[in-house]
Amino acid sequence: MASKNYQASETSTVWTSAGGDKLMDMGGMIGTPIMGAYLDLGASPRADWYEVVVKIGGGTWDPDIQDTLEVRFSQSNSTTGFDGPPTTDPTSSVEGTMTIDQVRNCKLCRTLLTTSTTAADVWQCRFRVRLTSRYVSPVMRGSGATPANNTGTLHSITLTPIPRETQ
Amino acid sequence: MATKIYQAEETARTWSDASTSSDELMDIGGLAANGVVCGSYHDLGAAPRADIYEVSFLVDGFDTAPVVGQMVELWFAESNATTGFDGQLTTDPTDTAEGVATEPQAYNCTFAGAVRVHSTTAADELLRRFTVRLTSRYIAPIVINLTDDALLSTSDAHMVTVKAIPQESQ
Repeated sequence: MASKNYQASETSTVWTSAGGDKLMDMGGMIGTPIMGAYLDLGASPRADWYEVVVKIGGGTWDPDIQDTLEVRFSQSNSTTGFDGPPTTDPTSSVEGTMTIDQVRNCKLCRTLLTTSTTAADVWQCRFRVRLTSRYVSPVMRGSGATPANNTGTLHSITLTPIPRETQ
Repeated sequence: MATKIYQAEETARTWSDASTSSDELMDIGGLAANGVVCGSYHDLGAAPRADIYEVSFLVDGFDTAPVVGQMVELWFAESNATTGFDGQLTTDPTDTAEGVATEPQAYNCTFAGAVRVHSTTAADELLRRFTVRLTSRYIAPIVINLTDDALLSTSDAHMVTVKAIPQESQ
C-alpha cells in the first residue's frame, strides 16, 4: 500500500546567551566569529535535515541597511576536530573560538540582512540545512561597521529536526 | 522488496485578489514599480505534512509596456506561530488579511523564484513554476515588482498557486 512521507517536526534546540538550551553569546558581535557550544545529535539514526531560524537585533544597535551576518555550521563526528578547525573546539557547554579565516571552512548556510537603521528592529531569517555529523555548532559573524546589541539574549539560533515520516 | 518512492500530488492552494475565486488573499493588481505585497497566511497544520511544494506564479500582464528582462520576484515568509514571520515584517499577515512588508524585509524570507518579462506587450502573461521546500506551519507569499511598470490593475488574474507534492512509498 502506498504511504506518503511527510515532514514530522521534532523538539527544537535554542542557542543564546542565557535561558536557552545551548550557550552562544552574540552580544556585541561584529567581525570576530562567535561559535556556539556544540549540540550532540546522538549516535543513533537521526534526522539529517533541520529548519534553522536566526533572530538578531533590538535595543540600541544602529546598523546600516543590508549589513550582512553570515550563518554557518561547524560539524564533527567526535567532540573535537570540528570543521575550520577552530582555534579552540567548543564543548557541550562552552563556546569555541574561531578566526575569520577558519570560519570560511565551515558550512555556509545563509546571510541575514539588516533591513533598517532603526535600533529597536529585529531581523529574522529561516533556512533548511542538511547536517550529517553527530556534533554541530553554529557560527555567526557580522560584517557591518557597528557591533550587534550587547544584550546577548536578544539574539538566538533555533534548530529543529524535520525528518520525513512514512504515514 | 525494493520500494519506489514516487511524487504524490495534493490539493492546491491559491492566492489572488478578492474578485477572483481563490483560497487566500493577495492583491497585486496595479502593484507599482518596486512595490511589495504580502499575502494572507495559509495554515499547513500541526500534523505531519508535506515539505516540498510546487509553486506556480502567474503575472497577468502590466498596465504599460514592460521592459524585457526585468523581473517580478516571489518570496515566502514562514512562521511556526501566527505572528513572528520571517523578515520581521512591518505587519504580520493573518489568515484573511494581507501583511505589510518592505523590500529589504522580504530579502530575509525564502526565495521561491522570479518571472522574467519576455515581451513588451503589456497584455502578455508571465508564468513560471518553482519547487520550494517550506518547513514551517504558516506560510505567506510576498511579491516584489522589480520592473519599471505597474502590474495589470484592471480585471487582472494574477495568481500564486501552492501544491503539496510529498514523496510517497509505493
